[in-house]
Amino acid sequence: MDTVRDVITVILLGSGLSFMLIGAWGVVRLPDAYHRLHASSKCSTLGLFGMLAGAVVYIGTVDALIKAALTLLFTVVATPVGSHILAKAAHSRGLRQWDHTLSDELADDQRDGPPQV
Amino acid sequence: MILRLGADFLVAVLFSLWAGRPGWPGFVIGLAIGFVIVSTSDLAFGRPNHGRRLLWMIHFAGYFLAILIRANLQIAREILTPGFNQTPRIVRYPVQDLDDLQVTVLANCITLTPGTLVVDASEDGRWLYVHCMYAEDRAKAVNGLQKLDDRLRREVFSW
Repeated sequence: MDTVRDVITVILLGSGLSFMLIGAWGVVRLPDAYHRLHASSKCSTLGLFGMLAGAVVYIGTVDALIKAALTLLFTVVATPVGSHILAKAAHSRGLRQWDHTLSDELADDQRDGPPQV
Repeated sequence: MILRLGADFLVAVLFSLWAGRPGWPGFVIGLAIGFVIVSTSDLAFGRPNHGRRLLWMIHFAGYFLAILIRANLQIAREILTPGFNQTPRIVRYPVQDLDDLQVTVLANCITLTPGTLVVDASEDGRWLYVHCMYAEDRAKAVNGLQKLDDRLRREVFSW
């Protein structure tokens, strides 16, 4: 029984950690600020979910489950908000966008005003 | 919905204080009692049922976890394979008929779904600007956002 639990814990912790690592690498490798924010917001959320799930399986009490669920709830609320702020700051400072970006309707609307519906 | 969940939790706290049994078993019993009270009041006033809406929210949470995992696999593939195939765009998406809290929930969900990231909201709160990673075809990208929006409206916003 304990072996099964250890194996599940290792799998969950390992997948969570590897998503975090991939996210960190994406922040270094992807071409512009917006793509980097894609990597950091999505990967850190799922990475934290995997690691918390591993911790809950290992500890195995209801207290741990409730704490992990609360931590995850606050993370899911807070992480995207942080990345919105960073993306907004990047856009308002006019950071260079990747050369292959097809269109930027936010810049269009800031110049001409939003469309009337 | 938030009001109802709040009432449910309030009953749970009061019950666990009254029963003098700290810890989670008393709290869970209190939650169950609060659930019955809220459901009964909904039935009595002929409003849509609390329990059914709770089930819809759990259903949405499962769907959300699935798309979060898909989003991660997608970006992991982009990071780990050499070269880039993105065709990014910043598109505007209309949110005229949602209130502020609903726009916030929608924006958070958009950011955590595959290939999309909210960049800004317009001053009057009528448009969201979304960075889509794979938006060769603008209509298709907006359609993907529309699908998530419809689902949220049907399962979570229908308070």
